[in-house]
Order: sequence, then structure tokens, then C-alpha cells
Amino acid sequence: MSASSGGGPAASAVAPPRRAGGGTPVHQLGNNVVVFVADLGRMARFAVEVVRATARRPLRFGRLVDEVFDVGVLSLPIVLGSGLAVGMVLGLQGYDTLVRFGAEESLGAVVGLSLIRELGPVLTGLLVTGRAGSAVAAEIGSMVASEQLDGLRMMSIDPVHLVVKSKALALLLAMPLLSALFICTALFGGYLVGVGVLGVDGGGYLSSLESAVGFREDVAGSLTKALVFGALVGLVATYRGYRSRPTSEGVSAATTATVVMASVAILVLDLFITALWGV
Amino acid sequence: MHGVAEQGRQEGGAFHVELEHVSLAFGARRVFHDLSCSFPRGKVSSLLGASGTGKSTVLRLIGGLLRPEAGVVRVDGQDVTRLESAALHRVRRRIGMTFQSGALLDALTLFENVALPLREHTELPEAELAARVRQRLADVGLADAETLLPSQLSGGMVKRAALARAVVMEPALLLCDEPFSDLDPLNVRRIEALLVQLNERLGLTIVIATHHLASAFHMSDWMVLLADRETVSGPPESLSRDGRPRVAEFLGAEARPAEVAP
Repeated sequence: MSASSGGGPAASAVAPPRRAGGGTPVHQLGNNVVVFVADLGRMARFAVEVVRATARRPLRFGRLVDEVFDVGVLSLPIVLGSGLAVGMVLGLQGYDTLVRFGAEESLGAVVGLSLIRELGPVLTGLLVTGRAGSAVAAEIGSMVASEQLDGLRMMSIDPVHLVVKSKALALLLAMPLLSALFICTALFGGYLVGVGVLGVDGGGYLSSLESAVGFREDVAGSLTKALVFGALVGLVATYRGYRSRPTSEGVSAATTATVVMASVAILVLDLFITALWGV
Repeated sequence: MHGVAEQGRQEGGAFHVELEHVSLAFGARRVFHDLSCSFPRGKVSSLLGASGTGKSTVLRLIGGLLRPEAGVVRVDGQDVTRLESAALHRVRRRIGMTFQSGALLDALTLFENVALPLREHTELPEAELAARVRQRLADVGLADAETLLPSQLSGGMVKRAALARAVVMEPALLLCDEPFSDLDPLNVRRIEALLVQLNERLGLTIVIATHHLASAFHMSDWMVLLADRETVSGPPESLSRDGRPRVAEFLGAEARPAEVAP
């Protein structure tokens, strides 16, 4: 069945552009591009709907707190555990490289800059996509399949305002916090390996870290990057769930598409942000 | 098919809902071509038809959840296919709808599910709101289940809770999608009685999409039968006497009311 209408005008039952079943590879490629661009357009309109809903009252602050708990607090074990492991690996690899040049006292700077500028926001984005983004898409998709969103529409309640807004906002807000915690844990992991196992001077580790990392260009840039990734994952996850087919296969496809699309988008966006703004 | 609305005007009085020349397809599958039917105001109407003939789709068209390729769907004289968001919201405020799956929000208790439209659209004091919700839950026999989540309810209880939620705002039009499926005979009679009572007390227009012929004949003032290529409308007795093969075939598939109830 065609997707139901949003809070407002009824949905058209006209099917979206069909994928070419046959034709030349060029036809198929062209058709895929058309489908992709049309989907991007729908996602942009959905983003505008979410932003408008965010500005509308009631703010539903309690619901937002619940969602931040679900996507943020419940992601902590996986984020902290991964952060510790990544920091330890960076400590081992960094020490191995630096010791060849007699620069092992710079271990703190190498671990810190790698984490803060790059690995922290990117890996946190990928981890949150896998744990919370997929869960958000599956939850909204299940609501589509069980007609809960249509039920809301028939009560003149906008599902974007009641359901989607708080989930998207929660991902946006939780991502920088989780990224900061990931970085702190990873720095501690690097310290444990470097100072505790490999014998690097603890004061040297911390002072090289402090002197190499600038707040504005590194820390603020890192948090901004995480914020952008949070917005991206929030949008992709809610959109995929909202537009899923009302079947169990549809929910499954929405979940998979969320993980694939958001992960690739994070990596591509990271390239652009780094290339354009040097963050 | 074209004369159905006119025939209805003569036989059933003013219509609350009218579909005229509606065509609809989902991808390559055509659901309706030039469908016309109407539902009289203040009456209980049953929408009958075999599986896949589009009964639920008709309800979705009436609620503005789907937009047809062609044709007009009028609710209270307003064409819902052409309404903008705000106007459609206003029309839906006067419609209650129950879905086959119940469509209760999983995360909310039964009480909160029924209270949701009141919280969203009214500023009732909490005590008054609670009293109204509890009355509706009592009406459907769920007074002692208000703290349960939908996942803790049986299929029949979900249906009854959905009905309580649909009528809590006291709408003018109630759309029910298979309200009797998954219900035991006792609860079928309870829901029948509740719907009839709502119709009599509030003058509610009720449209019920159902396979349950006994209930349909028992309750309805008006019936619409969707067949593959035609729509047959009229009071129950006229459908019972209708000699057309499709009508006789469908009604013969289940026991007729005279054979069911003394």
C-alpha cells in the first residue's frame, strides 16, 4: 500500500518511480540515479518537516529526555568499551612508530590529535548508527507496520511532532556528548598502554597532549563534527523508518538502509568537512 | 454504479460520506475503477465485500489517509482529497477510526492511549479527563485494565480499547475496520450494543467494514457491498432480496441473519 499521508494532505497512491527490470545497463543506471535523487528530495522535505515540528509547541521535553536516555545512556557501554579499546590500540601503534624516530614522548599528542580530530566523532557516529540509529528506524518502522502512525493521523496528531521530532533531536544532542566520552575513554586507554605498559613518562604524555591540542581548532571542531553526524544519523534513521513499507520485510529493509546509508554518509561527509574546513 | 448516490439520496436521506467516481491503484494493482457509494448521516452502515475488494481502503479514503487518482470523497460536504493539512486536521477532529490492528501506541498504557486525543486537543482538567477516559474504558468492559500496556492485552481487548479511544472525543463519524474480528461472541454483542448505543445517543454516523454478516445485518440501517466490478447499496432487507448473482453468492457464503438469529 502506498505510504500514508503526513500530518496534512493525503498521500497519493501513485507509485514511486519504478526500478527498471530490464533495459541496458545505462538505462538501469539512469533509473537508479533518478530514484536516488527523488529519495534525496523526499528526505530534504522530511527534514524541513522535522525542523518545523521542533519549533512547534508543545515542546514535549519529557519525551525528549526519555529518548536521550534510550539513544544516549543505553549506548554508553558500547561507546566506552570501544573507546578504551581504540585508545589502547592507538597507544600501541603510535608508540611503535614514534619509537623509531626517538619521539615516544609525543605519544599523547599523536593519540590525542587522532582521536579528537578524526576517530572520536567518526567512530562514535558509526557506533551510534549501529546501535541507536537502527533501533530508531526499526521502532518507527514497526509503528508504520502496525498502523500506529495512521492512528495518530486520524486523531489529528502529527506523527512527526509526537514521535519523530524527539528521536531525531535525541540523536542530535547525544552524539557530541557520546563522542566526548569516547575521546576521554580512548585517551585514558592510550595512557594505560603508553605509561602503564610501554614505560612512557606520564607527565610527558599529558604535557604533549596539552600542548598539541587547541580548544577552538580541535575540540570545538570535533564537537561540531559530532553534532553534524548526530543530525545526519537522526535524519536518516527517522526518515527510513517513517518511509518504510508496512510489512516486517519493510522494517528490516529500513533498518539495514539506515545503517548502510548513515555509515557511508558519515565517512563521505567527514571527508568534505576535513577537506573544506580542516577540522 | 453511477446511479448509486442518487438512489441513496432517495432511500437513505442526507449522506454524511459520499464517494463519487473514485479510481485508485497501488502500483500495477487497480483497486477501484469509477467507484461510487454513499453512507447516510446518523445511521449505522456496513461495508461488505470479500477479502481484497478494498473495504479498508474505502475507510482510508474517507479518513484522507489515501488520495485517489480520480474522483471525489466528500465528508460532511467537504472533498477530503483536496484539503490542505490544516483543513484536513479539522475534518479528522470530527472522525474517529479504529484499525484492524488496533493501532494503540505500544509505549503507552491503556489509560494514556485513550487519554491521548483529549490531552492533545482539549484543556480538560485532569480529574475530568480521567473520568471521561474511565467511562469510555468501562463502556467497552476494560475498566480494570487501564494500567496495562497494549502488549499485555488480548486481540479482542485491543479492539475494544481502540474503540474507546476512537469515541473519546465524541466524533460525528466513526469508521470501524473489522471491529468484530478476534472477538468472542459475548464481546461481539457488547461491541454491537455499544455501537448502536453511540448511534442512538449521539446520532453518530457509523461505517463498519466487516466480514461479520450476522452483526452487519443485526446492526445496520444501510449496507454497501463491494464486488469486483460493481457496488450494491441499500437497506439490509433490499440486499437480502437482491437477486444479482454476486450479491447472492456473497451473502450465501455465510448464514443469513434469519438463519442465525431467531
